[in-house]
Amino acid sequence: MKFIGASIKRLEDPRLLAGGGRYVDDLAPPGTVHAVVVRSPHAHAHVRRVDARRALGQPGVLTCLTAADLVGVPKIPLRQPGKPAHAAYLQPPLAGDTVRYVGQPIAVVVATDRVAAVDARELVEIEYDVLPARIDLDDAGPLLFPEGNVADSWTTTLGDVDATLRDAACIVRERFYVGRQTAAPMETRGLLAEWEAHTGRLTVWGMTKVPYFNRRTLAAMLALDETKIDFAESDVGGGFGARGEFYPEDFLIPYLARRLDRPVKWIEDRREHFLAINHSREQQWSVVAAADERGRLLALDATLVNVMGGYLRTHGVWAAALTASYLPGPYQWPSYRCRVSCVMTSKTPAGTVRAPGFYEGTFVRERIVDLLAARAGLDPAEMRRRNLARPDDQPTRSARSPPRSPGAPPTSPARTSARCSSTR
Amino acid sequence: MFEHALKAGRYEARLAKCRELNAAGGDVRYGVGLAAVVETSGSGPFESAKVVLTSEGRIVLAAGATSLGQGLPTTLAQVCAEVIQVPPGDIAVHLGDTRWMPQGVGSSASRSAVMAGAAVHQATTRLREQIVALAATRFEASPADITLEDGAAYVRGVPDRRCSLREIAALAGGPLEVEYRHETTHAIGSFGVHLSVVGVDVTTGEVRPETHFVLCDVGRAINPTIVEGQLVGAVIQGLGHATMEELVYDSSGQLLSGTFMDYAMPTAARVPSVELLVHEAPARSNPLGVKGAGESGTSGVGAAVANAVADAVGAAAARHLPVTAPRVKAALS
Repeated sequence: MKFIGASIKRLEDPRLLAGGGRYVDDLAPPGTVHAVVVRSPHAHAHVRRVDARRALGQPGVLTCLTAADLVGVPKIPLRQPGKPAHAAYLQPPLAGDTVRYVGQPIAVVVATDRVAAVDARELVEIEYDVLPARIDLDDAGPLLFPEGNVADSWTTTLGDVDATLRDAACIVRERFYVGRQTAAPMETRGLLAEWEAHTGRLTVWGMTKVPYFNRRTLAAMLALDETKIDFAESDVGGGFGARGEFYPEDFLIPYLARRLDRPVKWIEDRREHFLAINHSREQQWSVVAAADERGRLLALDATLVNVMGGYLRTHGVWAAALTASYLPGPYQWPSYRCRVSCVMTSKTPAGTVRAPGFYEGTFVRERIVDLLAARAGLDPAEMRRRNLARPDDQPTRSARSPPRSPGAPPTSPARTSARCSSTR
Repeated sequence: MFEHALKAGRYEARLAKCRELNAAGGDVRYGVGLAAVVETSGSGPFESAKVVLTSEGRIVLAAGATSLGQGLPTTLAQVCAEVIQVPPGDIAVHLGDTRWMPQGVGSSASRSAVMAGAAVHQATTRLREQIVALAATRFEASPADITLEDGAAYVRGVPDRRCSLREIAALAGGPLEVEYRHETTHAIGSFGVHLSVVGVDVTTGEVRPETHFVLCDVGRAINPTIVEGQLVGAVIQGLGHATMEELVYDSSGQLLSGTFMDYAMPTAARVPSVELLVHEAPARSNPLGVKGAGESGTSGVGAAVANAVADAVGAAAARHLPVTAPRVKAALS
């Protein structure tokens, strides 16, 4: 029988449709206790004092974890290739003396039930010196990191853009902006961690997407042998690129399970989700492009400001790197330049969401192609027909990869060349 | 392929229809937008799969990729079933669970069907070879004459010379297990075309997607319905990103759109018809010929919608994504 190519019904659906799904919050080993995260209400502030005494006095409250408990715990590392200079911008699992976005975790309260934990969260007293936030990039704004507000910048070039622009028949200039967005899976993030003291083993549910990197990261942060950690499968209510990366809670909840020797559960609420999960897409663009009088594309010269948040998370500047690498798209551009800068702000840190870099770059490029078509007096379809690398029915040939960038993009050379030779 | 998309997406006819509607006047102006996209999928460095024939004769499949609701357990079970001829529903599947699969990568960047699919295919092919060898010995036949069908091994053309998978496991003296790591240094590129038709209400600035057409090269669809589901979902997510979803901050850094009251997402009532043309030009870099299908439905949506808005009401309204009503209205006034 042929099974590949057959539209059989999804095997997992009867169970899920009949309510038989087991998501993280459906799992409750005996003795499970509940964690809630105390988050910054300020976008930029010094934390002067965290006082959990009143919270700890509440019935059912077991502990309140703060940065003072985590001395020596490393920051959350990059999963994608990065540069040594990125290290200064990485996020610690709990804020120490500075918070850099609304929603940054400062403490975790654990109680025997969720209601007690939520109530006790209100009693954690935190004193702040509020600092100016950096939201609008048009203002100079405050310095967010001693190393500067630009976490990375580079230029990707192919050919002589400046010379081409000088002589071209049709030139267009435009500014673009892509708004900040995220993924909103039906199931918010959630974790359950169980420590087995007599074997020294940790089991974690809710680590979806990239469990093996997350396990290595957790092992390093807990100073625990990786083979002592199991990530167990559960049903998952959507990911879309944002859910399942390594976030502060992915360290905090397993850490607390080991420390308390109790199963610890944390379920993100929806308001928390929008503040805590990776944001993505926000970019500002200034583009000049040229074509000849017959509509043949000549030059694409782009300046991209990738708007980061308060820290670099596991993706680092990957979304910006993808954008610059694939901006030329399926067309033949004799010359191309993309000047990229990744600018820190006082917003939730940025990562990826479905089609990162491609969604944004395709918007910019395809608008430019239409603008050049109008300038050349061509229908948009005809403009593309004249410029697609192979406008025949050879899809894998017309899917042209972009030029290799000599301007030291923040990707490992192996990775860059792999991506650039991906024409097949 | 581009010409094919223009024809299937009825570009000329839709353009003419928009011109006709606009000539009749009215507050809603219509436009058509195109986008040509390149997507990559199937990134490395590797993915792992393990296929086990248990001593009870059951097939258990594990892989490092994870199930996030994208239909991966079914997709991978189909690949395994194709090779070993066991009904997909009889295969137990464990994904992204380190107790079953100690080494792997996971699911991101449209890689699972490509990377985990290839790993499952290779692991199952090797398990099949072991099963065939055991059956050949048992029946004193050539391995070339052994066929697998419906959970058993047969001598071709001699249906009573049959050996169930449980009997195979007994012949083996216990469970058979094969693990395979599919490695790659090359991501796969694929081409796609988006065509969007929108109506823009010039009095409110509201952009209403009317139709969104996508031609997408998926290499080879393991389960066409699942692929179509991925593409339709990806388009709708892209339409949310193109027309309504935005995380808005005030100047002090407070997130203003932090609930579903404010962070607008496309509900069923706001979703236009989505038309798909799934193109299958097999990839040469993996044994199944698969290219990823998770993201190409999203990548061109913002571009095609913006071009359609520009076609309807001019370029000034198409500088910012998402093309929300206040933004478009401001651009028009």
